[in-house]
Amino acid sequence: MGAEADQRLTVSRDGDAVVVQLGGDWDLRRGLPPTIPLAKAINADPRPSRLRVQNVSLGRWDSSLVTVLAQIEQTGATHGLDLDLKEAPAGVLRLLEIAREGGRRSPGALSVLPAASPEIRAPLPWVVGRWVIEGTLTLGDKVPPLTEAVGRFVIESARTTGDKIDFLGSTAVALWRMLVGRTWRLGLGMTAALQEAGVGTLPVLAILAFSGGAVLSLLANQQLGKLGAPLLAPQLVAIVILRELGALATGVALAFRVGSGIAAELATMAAGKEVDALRAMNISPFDFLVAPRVLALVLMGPLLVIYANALGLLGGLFVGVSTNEIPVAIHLESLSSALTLKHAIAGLMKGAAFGLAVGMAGCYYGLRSGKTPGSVGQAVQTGVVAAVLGVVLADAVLTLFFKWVQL
Amino acid sequence: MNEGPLIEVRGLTIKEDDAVIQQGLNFTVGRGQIFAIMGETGAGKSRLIRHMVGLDPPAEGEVYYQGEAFWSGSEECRERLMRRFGVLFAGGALFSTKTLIENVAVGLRLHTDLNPDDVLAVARLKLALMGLLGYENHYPSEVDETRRTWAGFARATALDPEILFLDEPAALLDPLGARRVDEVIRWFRDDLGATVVIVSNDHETLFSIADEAIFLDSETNTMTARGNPSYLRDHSTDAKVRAFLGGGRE
Repeated sequence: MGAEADQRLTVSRDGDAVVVQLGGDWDLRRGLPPTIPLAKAINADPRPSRLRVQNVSLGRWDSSLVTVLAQIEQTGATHGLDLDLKEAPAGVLRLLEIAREGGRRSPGALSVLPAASPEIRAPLPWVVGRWVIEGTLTLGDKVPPLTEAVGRFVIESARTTGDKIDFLGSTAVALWRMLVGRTWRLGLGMTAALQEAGVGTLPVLAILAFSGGAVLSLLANQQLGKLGAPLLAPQLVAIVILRELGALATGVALAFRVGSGIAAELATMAAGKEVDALRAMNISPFDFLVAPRVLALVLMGPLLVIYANALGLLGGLFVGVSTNEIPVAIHLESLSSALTLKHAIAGLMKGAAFGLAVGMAGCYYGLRSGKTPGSVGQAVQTGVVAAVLGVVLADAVLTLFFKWVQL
Repeated sequence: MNEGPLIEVRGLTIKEDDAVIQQGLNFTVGRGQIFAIMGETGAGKSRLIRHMVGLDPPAEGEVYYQGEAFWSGSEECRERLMRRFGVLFAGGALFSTKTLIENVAVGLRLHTDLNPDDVLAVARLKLALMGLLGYENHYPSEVDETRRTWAGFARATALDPEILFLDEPAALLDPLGARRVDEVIRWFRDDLGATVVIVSNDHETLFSIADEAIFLDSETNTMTARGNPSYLRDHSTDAKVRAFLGGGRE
C-alpha cells in the first residue's frame, strides 16, 4: 500500500462552468473538506450555468466522497446548474443513485441531503409506569422459609460484593470522565435525566413531605402540650424536617419514582441488546448510561430537599396553627428560630447522598438483570428494594457522621 | 504487508455456563469475502459472533485479525481492532433514547474528526442508503421493526467498517426486504471494500451472495461442513448439511 495522499477538493472557473476537482485518498475518519469555496464560486459574477466534477488522480474513497458528491449535487440543483458527474468513480455514482432512490421512496423527503439542521424534539419520556406495576405485583411464586431466605441473601450478597465494588469504581471513573468533558460528545441525554429525576418527582414528594410535616406537627403539639411546653413544638418540627424528614421523604420518593424507572429502563435496554451494541461500538455503558443518571440524581437530590422542606414546614405550620392556641406570630417566631443554615446543610447533604444511593441501586440492578424481557420486572423489584435500603443506610451513617463532626 | 487471511478462528470453544455448545472451531475468512455462519437454532451462531466482535471472551481458543491475537492481547489492542468492525444485532438493537439519525451519528462523533454538520450529513447519507430518509428524527419506538433493522444497518455501517458482522439481518424482514439486504451487503463488499460475516439460514442469501459458509451442528457440537453453499448442497459429505440446504433429496 502506498503512502496516503490527502483528500483534495479544489474549485476553479472554466468559462461558464464551475469545475470541482477531486483527488487524493478520502477517509471518513479524517473528516470532510469544506465546501465553502464551491458556494463562493457559484455565487460569483458572472453566474455560472454548469457544474463539472473532475477526477484528478482520485485514490481510495469511502462514504466521505459520496457525502461530498451528494452535497455538490444538491448545491448544483438548488442553483439550477447543469451537472456533469461523469468523471466520478462508478461505485460512488452507484451509491449516490441508491441514496437518491432512498430519498424518493420516503414521504416528505425530496432531496438526498437537505441542509444539516436537526429539528429539536422533546426528549422521549421514560415510559416505564406499566412495567413498574407489573414488576411489583409479581412478588415471586413461592415464598421460601425465612431462614432460607436470610441464608440466601447473605450468600448472594457475599458473592456479588466484588462485582458491586467494581460497579462503584467504574461509575466513579465514568463520572470523572463526564465532569472533565470527555464523554459529552456521545450525547448523554442529561436534560432528560434531570427532568426525570427532578420534575417527575415533584408531585409524589409534595404529598409525602406535606403530610409528613402535618403529622409530625400534630404529634409534637399533643405531646409537648402535655408537658406544658407547646412553644417548643414549632421548633422541634422545623428541626426534624430540615435535618431528617425532608431528606428522607426525598430519598424515598426518588427510590420509588426514579430508582424504579432507571432499573426498568436499563433492564429493557439490556434485554434489547442495546447495551451489547454500545459495547460493540467501544462505548462504555457506564459513560453512556450510568454516569448521566447518577449525576442527575446527585444534583437534583438537594434541590428536591429544599422543595420538600418548604412543603413539610407548610404542612407543619398548617396543622400547628389550626390546633394550637398560640398566636400565629409567636408560632412563626418559634419556628424561624430553628431555621438555621446548619440544619439545612445537613439535610441538603443527605439529599445528595440519597440521590447517589438511588442512582447506583437502580443502575446496578438494571444493568445486571437477565437478558430476557421477563427479567425487567424482577430488576425493578430488586432495584427499588435496594434503593430504599440504600437510602435508609446512608441516612443512618450520615446522621452518625454529622453527630461526630457536630454539624 | 501481511496478506494472510483477514480473520482466523483457531480452536474455539463456545460454552454456555458449563455446557459445551461448540468446540474445535477452525476457519479463516479472506479479505473481501462474504462469509456465512449457518446452523440450527441454539447451535451457537450468535455466540460465535459475540466472541468474534469482542463482547464475550471464548471459553477456549483464539480469534486472530491479520495474525493479531484478539483476546490474549491487550485491551487497547482489542479496542483498536473493534474500531474496524461494524455490528448489526438481530432486530437492530437501536439506542431507544436517541432518534434514528442520532443512533447513526454516535459512532461518527466518537471515532472521527468530522465537524457536527458533517456528522449529520454522513449519517443522513447512511439513512438514505437504507431508504430511511424522512425518518431521521423518529425515535426507534415510533417506527416499525423493519425500519429499526434498517436503521441498525445504517448504524453498523456508519464508519465504513472494514469488517461487517451481521446477526440474522433479515430475521424480521419480508422476503423482498431480505433480498434488499443481500443487495446492500453486496454494495458494501463491492463498493466500499468490506468483508462480511453473516449469520443466516436464508437459502437465497446463502446461494446468491455467500462465498463460503460453515455449518454449526448442535448434535456433534462442532462445525460439520465448510465451503461454498451451492457446492455443499450437492456435494457435502454430511447428509444433514445437504438436507439443511434443501439438496440431496433425490
